[in-house]
Amino acid sequence: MQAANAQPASAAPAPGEVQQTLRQRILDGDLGGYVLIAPAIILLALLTVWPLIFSVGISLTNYNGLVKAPLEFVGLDNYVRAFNDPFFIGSLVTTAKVALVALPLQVMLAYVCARILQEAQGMIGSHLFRTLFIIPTMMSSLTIALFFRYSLDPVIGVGNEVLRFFRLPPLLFFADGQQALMTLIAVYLWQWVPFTSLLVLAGLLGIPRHIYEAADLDGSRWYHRVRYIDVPLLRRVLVIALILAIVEIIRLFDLVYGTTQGGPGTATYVVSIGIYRIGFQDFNTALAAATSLMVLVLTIFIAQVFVREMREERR
Amino acid sequence: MTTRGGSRRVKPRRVLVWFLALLLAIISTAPIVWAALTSFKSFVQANAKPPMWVPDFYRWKNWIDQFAPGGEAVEPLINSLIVATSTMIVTMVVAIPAAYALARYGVRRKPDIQFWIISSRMMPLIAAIVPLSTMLVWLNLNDTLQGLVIVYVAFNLSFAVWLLTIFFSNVPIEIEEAARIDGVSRMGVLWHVTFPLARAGLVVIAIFTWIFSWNELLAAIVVTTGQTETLPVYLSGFASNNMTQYEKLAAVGVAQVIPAILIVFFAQRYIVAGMSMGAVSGE
Repeated sequence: MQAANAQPASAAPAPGEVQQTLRQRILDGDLGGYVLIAPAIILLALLTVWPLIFSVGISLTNYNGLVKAPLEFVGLDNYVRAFNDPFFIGSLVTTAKVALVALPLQVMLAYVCARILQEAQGMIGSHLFRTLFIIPTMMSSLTIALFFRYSLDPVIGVGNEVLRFFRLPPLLFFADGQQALMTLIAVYLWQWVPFTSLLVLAGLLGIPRHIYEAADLDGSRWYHRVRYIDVPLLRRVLVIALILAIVEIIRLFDLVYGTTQGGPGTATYVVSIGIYRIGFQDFNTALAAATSLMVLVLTIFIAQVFVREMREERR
Repeated sequence: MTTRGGSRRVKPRRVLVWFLALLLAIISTAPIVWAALTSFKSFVQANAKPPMWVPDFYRWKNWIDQFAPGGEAVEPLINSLIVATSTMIVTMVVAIPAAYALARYGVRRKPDIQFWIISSRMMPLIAAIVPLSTMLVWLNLNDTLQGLVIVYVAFNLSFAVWLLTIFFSNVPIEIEEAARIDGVSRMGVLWHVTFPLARAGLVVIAIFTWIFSWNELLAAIVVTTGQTETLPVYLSGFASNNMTQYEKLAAVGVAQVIPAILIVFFAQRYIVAGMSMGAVSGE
């Protein structure tokens, strides 16, 4: 697809001219492409190449943003420190825990919600229900966090009133070391399941009806439909949804900042909060650079998987 | 498709589905509705146990305190509007030519550039914020709205270029070539032919760059303070308080969420393309 439309326009010289001036090559010819793309490349370099160079460079020194101490080359000290820092390693473990619990739930719940929305299509109010359902998708994570901080307050929160209504025991939510991480995951799911359902729904609507009708004729049960039709045909959508979700979990910052700020203790101390603390509360810029770099490498690896999936999709 | 005899048997199931769909809508909106109700309470009422279910709707004090001229949230609100709108405009001005070049010109090493673009979008901002904020300090742009806009444009650019490339590629090249044969310059073709045909893509970029900057917290916390703080930074101030003033927080929070709700109601069909970078639907 890309190869097909790369050439034709630039191959044709301007009418009536053999030798093009530089101005014409830019306005009407082959050089224009590079001129058009240059500002974007420069700004993107600012975001990717610069942090990379900075992080690699600074992480080998004792630089900190505050004190003008003489800059010293310290080799791999910061990396050794990062790996021996129980808080940083702990933050990686916490993020991994969130991913392990949240990812399967996110995909399963999204599939269930997408099926509900699909079945409800055409019913009275179903369009409004879907619209209301996906509002969290566009909301600021911080505002979500603050709303839940209020609703899930163990004393004055409305959450425990709802539990009481259903004859369930009250919870401590974010106030308890044991429950805080699960509460955080629940809020994360509240925010992201609607978007994932939208992806899955788009995929479901693309599956030809006659496949289900044929399966019905064969007398298949609902779990046959899930196992033998939906999961295989939605594979690519599910993989893309999973990759986007992993990136979102690595990024997880606002939700934690607005609720627990990493606590109680280190119960919700995720990796973004960890780097933020090192860089902007302890002002250990060099160590923050070293840890940032590790996260950066991890994400580039994930992005590569994503791009490969997309290329296959477009083929 | 069910026959008439079949539809009677299916009916309870359809009722169940309808109620489940309603339940999904309630779960997603309950915290927002609760915050909206709270914004009409006094401090004592907001902290009452059991909670006050129906507030006094004549009590607009929290809203007036925050948003009337001279209110506490006015400056953050204006800052946020400036940052979000500037980010949107600058991103589009830089991204449109780049995307067009990737879609139409023979740029060398195109797949590498595309991979680079996508990986920078997936990068967590936390991994780049230490170098970026240090750079802003060196450039004397720390604690300015301009500095924040640069960070946001850089971060959104990849997504904008990537998605616009898809939309531009979907414009049939024959139409552009026909215009070229009629003597329209390349830039003229871009303006008069390609843009109108790729309008959906432009709308997606505009919406998503705007709402990203409107919602973003991490970079804003690091880059701005006091006079330059954005609405999310102002809101986050409530979180670090021990005696959180939830009734005030609720008013600001609800105001902060209004653009998101408007987008969901009026631009719903662009959300999948915008959030998945076109991976699942390029419109």
